[in-house]
Amino acid sequence: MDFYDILKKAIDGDENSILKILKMYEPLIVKNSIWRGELDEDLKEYITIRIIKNISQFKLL
Amino acid sequence: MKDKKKYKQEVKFIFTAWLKTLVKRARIDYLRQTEKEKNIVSLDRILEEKKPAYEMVFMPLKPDLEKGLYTFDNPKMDLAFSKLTLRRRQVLLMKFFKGMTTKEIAMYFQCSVQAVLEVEKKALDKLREYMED
Repeated sequence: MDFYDILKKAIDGDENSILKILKMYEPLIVKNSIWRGELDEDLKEYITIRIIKNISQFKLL
Repeated sequence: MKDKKKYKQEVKFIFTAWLKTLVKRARIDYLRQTEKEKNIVSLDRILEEKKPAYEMVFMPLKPDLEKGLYTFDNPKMDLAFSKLTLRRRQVLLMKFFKGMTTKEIAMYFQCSVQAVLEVEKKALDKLREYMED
């Protein structure tokens, strides 16, 4: 299963696919969750929730 | 058909770019919301409070550096230097007399490189100000 299929399922709301994508992009999330030199767990959670809520808005051709 | 195959290969890059924007915006939103709660402490206070754990790993500094003391030949310079705060004196001595890099100083004080640079800049500004008096 390639990325396109995972993404398509994630957009349709499949939990496992969303988890896979979150795991894939964890470095990006962690990098953006650093505040004043430390990992801010609340910020990480906020970003993760934002991704889960908004992933369905990504438009595939 | 060909286009679709190409799109399937490129979709990861498109999605990554989209996600990066989303994450950055989420971060900004969060920081704006909680900015008031995260009380801002002055830089000097943070630096004074944190005790160096660096000593265990690296060689301890000489006493004159720890107390931030140095005697200059120029009496005016000596007076101006003694007016600076301890932390500023230490940073200046480390940087210009011991030849430590900014990164090493940051590790010593357990703070960010940016914080050290800011202390250094303020110290130099103050020194200039006192010298002109």
